[in-house]
Amino acid sequence: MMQAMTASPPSDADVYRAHAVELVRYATVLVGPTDAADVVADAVLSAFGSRAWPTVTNRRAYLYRAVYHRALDLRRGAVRRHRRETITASSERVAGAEPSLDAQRALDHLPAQQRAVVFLTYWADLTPAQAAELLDVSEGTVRKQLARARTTLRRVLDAD
Amino acid sequence: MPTDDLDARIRALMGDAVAAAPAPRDLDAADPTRPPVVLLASARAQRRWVGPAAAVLTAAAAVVGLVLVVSRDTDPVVVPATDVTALAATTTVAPDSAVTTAVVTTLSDAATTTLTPDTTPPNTTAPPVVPDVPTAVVTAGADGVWVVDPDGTRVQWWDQPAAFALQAPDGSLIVQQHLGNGGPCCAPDGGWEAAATMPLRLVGPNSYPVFLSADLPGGWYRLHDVARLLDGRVMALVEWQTTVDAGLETESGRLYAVDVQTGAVVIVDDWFGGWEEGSSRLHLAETGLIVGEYSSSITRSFYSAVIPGGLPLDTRPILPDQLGLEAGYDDCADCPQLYAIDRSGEVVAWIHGDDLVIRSLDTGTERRVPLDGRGAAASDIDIALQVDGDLGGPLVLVVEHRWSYDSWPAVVLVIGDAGIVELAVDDPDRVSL
Repeated sequence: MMQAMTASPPSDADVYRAHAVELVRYATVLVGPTDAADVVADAVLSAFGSRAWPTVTNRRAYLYRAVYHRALDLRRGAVRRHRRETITASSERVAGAEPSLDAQRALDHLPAQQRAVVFLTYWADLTPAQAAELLDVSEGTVRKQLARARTTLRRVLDAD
Repeated sequence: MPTDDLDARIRALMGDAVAAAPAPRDLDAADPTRPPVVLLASARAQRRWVGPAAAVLTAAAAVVGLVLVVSRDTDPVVVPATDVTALAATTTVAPDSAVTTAVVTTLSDAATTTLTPDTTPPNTTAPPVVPDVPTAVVTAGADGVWVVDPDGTRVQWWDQPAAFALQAPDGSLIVQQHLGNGGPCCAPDGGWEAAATMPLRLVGPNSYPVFLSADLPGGWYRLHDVARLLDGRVMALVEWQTTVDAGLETESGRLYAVDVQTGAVVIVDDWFGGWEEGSSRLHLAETGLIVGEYSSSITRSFYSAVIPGGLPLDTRPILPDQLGLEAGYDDCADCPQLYAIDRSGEVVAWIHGDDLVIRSLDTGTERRVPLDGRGAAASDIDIALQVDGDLGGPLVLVVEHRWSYDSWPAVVLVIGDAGIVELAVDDPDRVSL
């Protein structure tokens, strides 16, 4: 009882509950809905199991970065897999609606970092400075990636 | 954040994408049965910064004591960029210890006539035995700049050390004496000042900076390519980067196209390079299309842009998926890389693994040429093609190998129906087509 009354840091479970939904949305933009939940689960468990985790001050940012890097790994693996296999529709799909073809196709034109910046800017409504802090890059990089993403998306959307 | 219709469309796009997000997993973080995990973020973050950090440390050391001299300090005569003749008559480029310049006495003819090299070149050698080469080859190195004509004749155009040179289609030569943000730490000769990276245009015995305007930002320059566009302009593609190292907040560079005959400058890309970013050599087609590889952090991707105001007016950058490429390749050692476009703007080439891939933009026809180990070690390529509709016919490929402090060992490959022949090139420090 005494412990419960002191100002202890949130448990890992609390951290996960607080950020799971936004992280899965973020991962959905990065890798698509099929793998998004797994990417987040793997990234979060990796973060929780790391030696650095107890000393992390901005845990949300840390988890965002973990998800981003896990997404990169998955995309690399997916590329390799894609070369070897013929992709067929799977009957076993992760719960969640299919993204519109337009959205998926448009996002396919963006590298991962641009997807991340677009998500944080247009969905999470973060400023470039806030997005930069979350991604651990400079504000200039965020602005640059956003400018490139907008240029690409303008062309892609205009072509539709 | 900018707001226009595009923003609304991107928001809607995000809404569509996020609406498909599944529910989070029911996670038991305390599950003791899970194997030990390695946090990828920290490991990758370290790897990610090694290259850029080394580059920045190198650059920071290089700029110590650097004095930027781009004529302004001594003779700031400002002449309209389009008035080449006036500039030639009144402006003397501030002499630099490493840059030899001379006043051009008559340039007005250069805009309309094809110039020829000095009629008495300082050195001419017997033609080496080479296969039919459908293009001239330019070499730049410690012994100056040489042009190897298709018939094998070697003519020395410039007797001073040069880092890179390109033959312009009007007969002049564009030379860069140093590449990169040099300094005492980085070169056997003790480094160089940023001003020495300014590309020079050689016309006969004379030379002058490609950028004619005195109002230039301080920094270093990189010559990428030069071509005559379909609208008649002879444009050099030149990148500018700051020498001011501000870490994460280092100012982005710029990609310029410069009309070498009039000095008119066009900004092609206002966000080019900078911290953690850069490109391979870019290639320019006569349609104004630009192709190369761009790297941002761990992501390497196909880069395409267009010089504004060219012909045809509807020329647009190439999207990666038009070539069957991904939008970007993250930290990938076996992915497409080092893209180039031929002068006609009809064929794009790149390296994938050890193969040269040639692809027709019109038909999508693709041809792969195994390079017997040369492709895998490539750090840059240049290409000249005389291919038919099926991508047959001879082509010349320059493969620059990984850089070392001593040289840029390049090989010139003539790829014909009978196979690949390596062209013998003396001192092939830097080679271009």
